[in-house]
Amino acid sequence: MAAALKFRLKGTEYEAVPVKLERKKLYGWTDVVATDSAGNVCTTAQVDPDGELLIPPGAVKSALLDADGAWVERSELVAVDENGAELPIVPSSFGQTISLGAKATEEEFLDHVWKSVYQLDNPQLAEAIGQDIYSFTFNYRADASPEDGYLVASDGKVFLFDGEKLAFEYIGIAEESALDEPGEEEPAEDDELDFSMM
Amino acid sequence: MRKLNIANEAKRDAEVGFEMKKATPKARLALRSGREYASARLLKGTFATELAALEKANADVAAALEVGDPEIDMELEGRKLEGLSKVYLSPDGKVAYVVKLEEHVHAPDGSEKEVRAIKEMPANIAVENMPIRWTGKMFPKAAALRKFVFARSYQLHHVNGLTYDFLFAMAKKLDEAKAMMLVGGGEKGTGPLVFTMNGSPYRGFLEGRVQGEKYLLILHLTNLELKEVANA
Repeated sequence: MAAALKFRLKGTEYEAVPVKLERKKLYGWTDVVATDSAGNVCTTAQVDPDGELLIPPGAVKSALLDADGAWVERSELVAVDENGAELPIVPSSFGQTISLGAKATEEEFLDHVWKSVYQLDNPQLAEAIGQDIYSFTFNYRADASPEDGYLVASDGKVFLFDGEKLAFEYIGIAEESALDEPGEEEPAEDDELDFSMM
Repeated sequence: MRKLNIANEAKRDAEVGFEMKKATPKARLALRSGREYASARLLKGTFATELAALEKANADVAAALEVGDPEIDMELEGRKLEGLSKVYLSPDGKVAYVVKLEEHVHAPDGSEKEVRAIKEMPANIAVENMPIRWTGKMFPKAAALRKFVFARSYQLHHVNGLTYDFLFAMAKKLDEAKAMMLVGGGEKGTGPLVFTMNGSPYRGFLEGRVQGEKYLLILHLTNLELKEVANA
């Protein structure tokens, strides 16, 4: 059974299993299928720049190499701060009760980019949250980089937002920016689903 | 900074800059020894060393694996890979140079709803004479953040004095209303916003804040409603 998150708000404890909110679950999804001139469904592979090496799916492995080309195990890596000091591991939020006390403004909430949003099915928690937005440190897995967590209630449901703060700054007339020159390459976007919301 | 063409409520348009600025990460991964490292992509196998090929070449694959290493190409395994391109293969394993691409659309339950030709979707945020427009539909901030998941947010930047006045006025109006304005792209100014060729379409909501003579104008993008999903 999936693990539940526990919260404490105004002295009362609440529990709910987070269910990730995904476009696929709400709107469906699209696959691109290629067929050859005979109408057969094609599979994909990759080819090197010389066009000589044909690589099957799943045959490209990500690796870490040092300056001499020697293999580096991921387990050798540690999280450090900007000064190079090792950071402590923050436990997963699943192993403890999250105390909800700090409230956030709408602007603070909107100043974030979200990695994930989860639905929590607990009407009593939704009622207790009301129109407030609660902020807390959230860590899905134990690691050194916990994220900002927020709880929002909507239509009797609670939603947990997990993300990081953006560095928006107020700007005055003197802080004008320069536009990129025409023809500069646009960054590619992640390949996502068709929009079918409204 | 990337360019965006946007109109105000009075349908006056201007080209402005936009960016998403993440905060500096608090943590990074490093080796305790201080050695530098970099990521790489390595070859893990070839068609000749796949199970299907091994089964074709060996009557008893298990026995072959016991006495040798037929699953490893000693010349190629571990080769660094860069600049790879995608190709399509016919069922016979040969490269298909002419392919037809179609989209198979699935419902949330997995059933196939439709098969259709792929339509190219050009970017529409910086088209001359086709600015992003205010739709006139305002959403109080409290309602908007409880109705939509804003996946990305970009700050708009002025590029000269005129565009400062232009954007500042927008931000002031929205700040005073404590609301977000739904903006749209395309010829009618009501369609979704597409930031790159064949990129994901998003609905855009403009939020404005003002502090003295300074402003903050943010374009929040969403392609997901804050709605209950059926099951876990």
